[in-house]
Amino acid sequence: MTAVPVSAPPARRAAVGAGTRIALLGNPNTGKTTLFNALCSARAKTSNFPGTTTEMRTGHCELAGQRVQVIDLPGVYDLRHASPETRITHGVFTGARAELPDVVVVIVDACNLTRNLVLVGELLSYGRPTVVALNMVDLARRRGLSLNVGAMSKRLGIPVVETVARTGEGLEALRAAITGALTGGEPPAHPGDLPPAGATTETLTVWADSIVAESASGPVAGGHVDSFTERLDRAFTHPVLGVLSFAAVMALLFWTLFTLATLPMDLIEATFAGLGSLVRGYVSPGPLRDLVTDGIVGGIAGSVVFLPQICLLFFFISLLEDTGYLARAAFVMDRLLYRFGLPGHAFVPLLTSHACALPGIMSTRLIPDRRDRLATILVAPFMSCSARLPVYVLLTSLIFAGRPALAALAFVGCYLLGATAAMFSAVLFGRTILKGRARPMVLELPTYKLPSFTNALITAKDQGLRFLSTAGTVIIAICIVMWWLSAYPKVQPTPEVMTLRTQAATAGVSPASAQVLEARADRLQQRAEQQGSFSGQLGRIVEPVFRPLGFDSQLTVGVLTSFLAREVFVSTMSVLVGGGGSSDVDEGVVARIRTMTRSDGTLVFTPATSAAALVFFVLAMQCLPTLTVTRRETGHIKYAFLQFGYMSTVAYVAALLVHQGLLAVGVS
Amino acid sequence: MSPHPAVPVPLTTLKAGASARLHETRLDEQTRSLLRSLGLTDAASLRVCKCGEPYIIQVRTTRIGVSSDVASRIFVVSDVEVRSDDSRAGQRAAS
Ligand SMILES: Nc1nc2c(ncn2[C@@H]2O[C@H](COP(=O)(O)OP(=O)(O)O)[C@@H](O)[C@H]2O)c(=O)[nH]1
Repeated sequence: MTAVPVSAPPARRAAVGAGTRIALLGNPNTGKTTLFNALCSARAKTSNFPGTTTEMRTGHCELAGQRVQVIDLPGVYDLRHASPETRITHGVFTGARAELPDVVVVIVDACNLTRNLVLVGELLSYGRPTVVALNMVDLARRRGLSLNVGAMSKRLGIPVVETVARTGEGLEALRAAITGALTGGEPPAHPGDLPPAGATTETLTVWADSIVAESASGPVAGGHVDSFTERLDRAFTHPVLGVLSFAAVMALLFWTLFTLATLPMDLIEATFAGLGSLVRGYVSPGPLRDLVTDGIVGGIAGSVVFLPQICLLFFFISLLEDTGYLARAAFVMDRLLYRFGLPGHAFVPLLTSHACALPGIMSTRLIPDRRDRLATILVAPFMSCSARLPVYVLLTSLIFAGRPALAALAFVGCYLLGATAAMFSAVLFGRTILKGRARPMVLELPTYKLPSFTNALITAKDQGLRFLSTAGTVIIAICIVMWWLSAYPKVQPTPEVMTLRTQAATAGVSPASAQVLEARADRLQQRAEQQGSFSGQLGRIVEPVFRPLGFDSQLTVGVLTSFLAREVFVSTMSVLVGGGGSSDVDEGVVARIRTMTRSDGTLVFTPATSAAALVFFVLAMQCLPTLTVTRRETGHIKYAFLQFGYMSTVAYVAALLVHQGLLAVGVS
Repeated sequence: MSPHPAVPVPLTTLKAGASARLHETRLDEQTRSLLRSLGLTDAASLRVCKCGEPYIIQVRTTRIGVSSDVASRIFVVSDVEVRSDDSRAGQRAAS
């Protein structure tokens, strides 16, 4: 990309005002996020750059008693590399994208001076008022580097302020320098020897080297060997040790994630259940009450329940990313994933998808290349998420009754089938719609650092809010629609139910047996309602489609209702056999579902049908919330449709093959 | 033909600890441009920190990891050899 600098320096603002905009720019891993957090405290908003899927954070900070806007630009190494991040940054400095910033603060890593100063050189040719925050000076000093900020400032013709973003050291001086740049009269005279706009990286590097030579002394040229980093790198990228440490880190990550997420998730469910009963106590029975308690409260719960996993995941990812380990781990996994056309970075999203595809897809932001990111998003939902677990438990225990070892084996098989399908689909997509393999891995390996707890907390909060404000609202709407489809139209009590209720109300019936009668009436009523509802009717309509898989209309209803969330399948089946609506897989439920019959009196869950249903549930895209997130993260609804269409087709064909194959070999 | 001292060789032929100068990269435009952004510009000095998968090289103060596939397409002139043929290497760097 050739740099087109703004030729005429724009008019200076006389003072700091509410409309003042400050942009933060810098190489990745320079402490930009930390500095942004320190400047803006926690009052930041995360959104996407208009028309892109690249994240943008905006916040506000106090300067000379005024609130000014701060924009965190994506981390870039230079302004010419043709990446989406570079295009966005370029657009900001030419005014093509958003309003021109009044001041640009470039964060320069004091430990990587030359490379960082190349970016400064490029930026200066755009003619924006600029301030350099020379960050990580603590590390630089520890390495024996001595810096002469005055000399650097003089050579660059702009203020240079030493900072330690982690501790807040130098922040006040930085604020003062920004204020100075905003209120100063003339724009700073740019150094006469600054290479012209569009100069090659080589020319800029020579220029940067000359500045480093004048303003820093010590190990600046990289002659120095950091044996600690060297040894850790060897271990973490070692063919055996690297894999072992990766396995250990991931096991710890996901164990902590699961353990910590369970409590808040249970709490959320309990709270909303309580809220539902509270409303039930205040509002008189009727459609309005049902809408509020089951539709709206249920819908919000269905969306908020994802929050603990999303926040915790991003919290841990932020910690891991800060340490510098993730870059090493990407190489370890690249060996495995490259064969399938996926980048090494895809491991966090794919592993996370075993818990839930939503945070998994959201974490594909770690993947630098768009093609790679799309491929990962499209295949991630094949991973067996925790919502499929109850379905696996139900179906494997139906197939292998009394043979727990075989059931366990089938269980493992489900996980393997999902992962295999994901990998082969990645290959397929790579050969068709997402041409080109994963880009060969080239990554900066940042120095190992202690992670920042504050950064991680802020990231978790931001990502949680971003989820709620984008996907969350859609998920609530979907939940309400799905609830409506399964609750309406209302069905009049059947004669059988009426009889039971009259019996219960008859004088002389003991309270205990009255309760039993009522409960039976409730279950029958629930079953009638489910069959009469829109989703029940739909089940009967589409039944012919699923007949070749051995599904009857009841099983089809189960499959359809699980599009809201897979675990609903268990409660739907339970209601259909006249049990309660609980989604727990207990012995009684399994026994009842096993004896479930078709309209012709034969069993529904024959081994062949159960196996086909199991394969279908492993592979099918039965999660509308996931589709919402796919749309958000890819920036286009066509990818959500593609994901849905592709996965459903694969699931259908695979289940068909299993059913017909089993029938052919005599298993029915 | 006997190997010329300053013949460019793939990075993969170097041992850990060796220093070299970049000669050329035979990579796709995107990857090449990313490497340049990371400091691996024409004739830049580099040190091999680790061989195998991935190769780790250090350019100035930046450590860069590259898959061995990429490393085999990075052609360098080993430093020891450059010294034995200083004038030629100087011309190359200048041209
Ligand atoms: N020692 C030291 N560490 C810092 C400083 N600023 C940031 N860090 C750490 O550097 C790591 C990367 O910081 P981050 O803000 O995420 O970098 P970004 O990629 O540029 O946004 C984190 O572990 C920070 O805690 C600093 O001035 N000194």
